[in-house]
Amino acid sequence: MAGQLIQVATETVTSAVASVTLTGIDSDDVYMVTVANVIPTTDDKNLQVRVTVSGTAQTSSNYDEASKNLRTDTTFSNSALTNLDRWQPQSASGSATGESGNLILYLFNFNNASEYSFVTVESNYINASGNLFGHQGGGVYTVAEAHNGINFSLESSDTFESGTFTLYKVV
Amino acid sequence: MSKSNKYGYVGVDVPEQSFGNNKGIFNPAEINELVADNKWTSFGQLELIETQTVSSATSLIFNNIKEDVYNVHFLTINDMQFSISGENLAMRLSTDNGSTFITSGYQYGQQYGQSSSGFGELKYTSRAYWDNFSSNITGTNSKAGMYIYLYNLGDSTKYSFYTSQSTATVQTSIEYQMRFGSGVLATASVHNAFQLDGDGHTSKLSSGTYSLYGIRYS
Repeated sequence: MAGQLIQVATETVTSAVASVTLTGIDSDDVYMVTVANVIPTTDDKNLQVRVTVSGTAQTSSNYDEASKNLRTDTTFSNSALTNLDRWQPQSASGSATGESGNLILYLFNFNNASEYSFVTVESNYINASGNLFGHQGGGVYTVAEAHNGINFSLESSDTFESGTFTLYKVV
Repeated sequence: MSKSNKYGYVGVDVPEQSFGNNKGIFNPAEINELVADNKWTSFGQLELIETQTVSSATSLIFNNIKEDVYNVHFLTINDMQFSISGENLAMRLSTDNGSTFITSGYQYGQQYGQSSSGFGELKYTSRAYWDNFSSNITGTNSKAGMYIYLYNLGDSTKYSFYTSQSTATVQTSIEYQMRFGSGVLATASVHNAFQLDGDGHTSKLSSGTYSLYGIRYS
């Protein structure tokens, strides 16, 4: 029956790991990624997201993004960044009790070798100051090449304490 | 009702099966059969209703949207582009299966942001269409992807709503652009078709894959 979310890859962190890579993008369909209960081992770390080529995270400075930060502690803010070496859907993520993050990404044109790869991002998390953040926007990786997956890591080579990462194909 | 050995019943009248009203004990083959017949209860199930692919300038009409079955629709758009510059993706609803489209009364708010040239809001209380899902997408390396949820299209007692989120690079500068927002057509009516095009409605979509799904939650 057409019309399903087909699970392509999933990984649940049960002991500290430096990165999580989900691969298996091999068609021009839209893909969706869910990330639940992600927590850095060390407090106050940025979540980093990268595309992969043959399973290897791409670290060239070709990531652009724009997002609205929906904060509970102060006025909403904007985030507009170009030529980064990663997308950054969560900043200064917290690791204290009760602090964690979640996000949903939709992936467009990842399998298309002649077009850039795009993501939409919906994220919420509690940062290292204990404030709730919503983060709504997206990004582009401005290299026309095929990407077979997506990679998650933390700044300063920190590790994930927890998190469930799942890649789905929308068919 | 019919007498047969099915769904765990033997020699008695077997209940008719329908979504939300499955009775009996089911083996895997029977479940697969009911799923194929759209009679198996699975809340939140996603059904691909139709995919349309654009490879040359056109507009799109979806007029078999199963609005009598699904109260939430999910539209994905991948690799979208316009044939000329300056177009915004626009959607209009129909009450007559796409023979005509409603040209007034659309309301929406959209938040946009670009990686270099700033953020802003777009809001309308009386518009001839829902537009600005994504704009200025044409030329080399300028493409858009997005998803749109549509609510209550088939409910004659409720207004029709949408929520959307898009990701794109705009024409010429290839600057990154994101948009998200929501809208309503504040007319309680059954809407059984919709059109996608540039806001000029002159067949300006030039690429992309457009897939419409139904999500059943009740």
